[in-house]
Amino acid sequence: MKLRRTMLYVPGGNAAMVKDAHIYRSDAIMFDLEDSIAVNEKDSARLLVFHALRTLNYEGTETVVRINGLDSPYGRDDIKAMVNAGPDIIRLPKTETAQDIQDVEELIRQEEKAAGLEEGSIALMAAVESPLGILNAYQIATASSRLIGIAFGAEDYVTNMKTSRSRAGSEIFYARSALVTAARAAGIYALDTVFSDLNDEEGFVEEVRMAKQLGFDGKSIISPRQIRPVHDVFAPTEAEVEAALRVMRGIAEAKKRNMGVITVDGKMVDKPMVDRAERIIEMAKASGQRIPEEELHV
Amino acid sequence: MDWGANVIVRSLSPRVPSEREQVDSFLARHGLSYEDDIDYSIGIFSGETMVATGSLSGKVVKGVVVDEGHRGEDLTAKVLTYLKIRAHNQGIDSLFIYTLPKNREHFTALGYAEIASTEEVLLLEDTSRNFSLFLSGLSRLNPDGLPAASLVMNCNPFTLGHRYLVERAAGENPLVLLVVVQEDRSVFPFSVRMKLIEEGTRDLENVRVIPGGDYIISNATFPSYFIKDKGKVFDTHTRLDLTIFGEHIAPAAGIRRRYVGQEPFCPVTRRYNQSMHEILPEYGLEVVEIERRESDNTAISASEVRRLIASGKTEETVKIVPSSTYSYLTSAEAEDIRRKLQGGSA
Amino acid sequence: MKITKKGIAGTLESSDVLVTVSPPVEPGVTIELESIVKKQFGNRIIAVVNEVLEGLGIKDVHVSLQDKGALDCTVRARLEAAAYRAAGISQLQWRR
Repeated sequence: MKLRRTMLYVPGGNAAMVKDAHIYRSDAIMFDLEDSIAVNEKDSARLLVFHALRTLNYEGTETVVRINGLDSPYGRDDIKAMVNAGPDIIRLPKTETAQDIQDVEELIRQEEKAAGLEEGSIALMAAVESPLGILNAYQIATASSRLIGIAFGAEDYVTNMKTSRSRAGSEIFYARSALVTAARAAGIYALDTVFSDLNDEEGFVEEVRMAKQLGFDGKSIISPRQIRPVHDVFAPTEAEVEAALRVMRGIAEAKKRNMGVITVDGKMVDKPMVDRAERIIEMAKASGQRIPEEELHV
Repeated sequence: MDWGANVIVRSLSPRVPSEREQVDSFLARHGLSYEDDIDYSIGIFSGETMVATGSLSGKVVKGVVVDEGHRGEDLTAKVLTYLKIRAHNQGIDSLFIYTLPKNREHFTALGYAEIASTEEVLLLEDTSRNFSLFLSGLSRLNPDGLPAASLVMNCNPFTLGHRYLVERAAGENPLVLLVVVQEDRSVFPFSVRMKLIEEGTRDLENVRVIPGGDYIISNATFPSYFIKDKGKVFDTHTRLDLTIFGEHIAPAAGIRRRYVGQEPFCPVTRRYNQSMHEILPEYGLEVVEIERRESDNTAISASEVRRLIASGKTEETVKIVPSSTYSYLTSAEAEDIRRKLQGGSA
Repeated sequence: MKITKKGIAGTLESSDVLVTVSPPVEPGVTIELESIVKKQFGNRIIAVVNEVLEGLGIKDVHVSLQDKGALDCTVRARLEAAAYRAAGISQLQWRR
């Protein structure tokens, strides 16, 4: 059960950040080859991320690379390089249609084949940053079996919508909801947009709480300082953990007695409930709560 | 690491008044002055506020300053990186920095190598290779380690006065190294000055003519923005220049003597000569001052040549320059130079 | 690969290295290294440089490095970037 509460954004041209990003213990790190890299540095950043991924041990932190889109001169080379570098996920920016995903997937597949790598070795993520992308969210979310999640990018979206960002975020409410809905319908992850004001800690926590309430699995973040607050918000309460453990115990019992359908707390236990219980226990463990080992066997 | 520091880098042109003003006022706030020969500046901004800057004037890095509130963020490194890339794109091979000696560690940590220092100023270059090559080049000119004499001259252009000086040195020493100031700030460009010197000394077998490269520093290039007492700038530069000569150039080439012409006109040159008498003996070097050769009771000088050309009397220079220089001065090739002098723009 | 002009890549910031690759004055490989950890890692850095040059088939070049404590992978990345820029071609070799 992979946790993606935090995805830390790392400019791919910065040698110090690229080598150390994992020490802050976010769930994932995203090396950026796109917006944070100047045009005349694209080649150099691509090489830096390539060599870092091939050489360094990121100690279990999930590695993501945000490549340039295929409408730029850099996307193809980014894909060729990154398939050989081996991050866990390639993230495509400004995704608008399912075709965008399929085009990237085809190039990845070709490079995997040419390099003698196992097909499907790299997963995909789509960043949706425009009105059209939001409207196509479900098609995008189901465009490829490699696609494990979709992320929302509010900055570009809001510009396209001819408005500006506000604290309350009403201008992106629909987009957020649409994105999470699409992700859930497709059975994949949903990540919320970045919060850029590093000095507004209160506002940040408020936004994270709201994202969690909407059903997001996590958030893209721009500084290690933002990791802890997100993990705290996503940490389950004791009551939630207890309830989750009851579900897991119920299943263990049912298995022992060869029972088919079971109920826990008056509710029938179905797959979504089990998934939720597992996720809660994972998050509890990740935030340092102690779960006795015997409780975990199903 | 600058997560969340969110700084942007902008290039600032001295030709755009608002951009120039930004650098100027930032430097002024830090007690430094803006120098007129700046070609290019970098500004690092946090939001709309400038927090660091650095500039280039040819090969020389000037005015690298970081705001107190942003120290420890590697901003000096960022500034120097962008200046280096700019220099690279301009075909400039290496960069020089003049700074206060207390900043030595700061810049050596950034990959700069010390060329020379005095109590007041430190000169660094971002490679140690060029200076090594320059010095070994000098050393190859005197493979037998003969006690050599040297002349350091600009020759704008080469006159009979210069010739006399070289002849004296050549007659009194087994080997003469004539170092030509390479800085192109004279009306006669370096390539022309070199050519005229070589032609004018060809018959002297024990004379070698060499470009001074980046290591003979003219007063024009010496930056002074970090020197508080402007009255001391000339002396600070002189001492540095002579330190480079005494500590590195003379030993590499086996130079024991430095010949200079007596200077009746220019107070600046006179002062420089005086400093030579004070400083070079500290390095075991002898300074030999030769009185000027005269023609019609006036000293022969390059400025007199230029004056004559400027007043349309180029033919009259025949009395004070060797024939090789004269043929050039009256040639079609020298048309541009004559025009420049006559236009009064030199 | 032939080095026909100068190429530069990297930065002077901490953990990075600024590399300049240029056509050599005489045939062969010359390396100039200024490093804050020259004593401890100088030989290692030079070994990495030689390895990369060999891998790219570069026989005649001058490489200048201003190192601020870069890891091997960073030296590799910056050197390759500078070399490709100096040779005026874009990367082809990703499969290793």
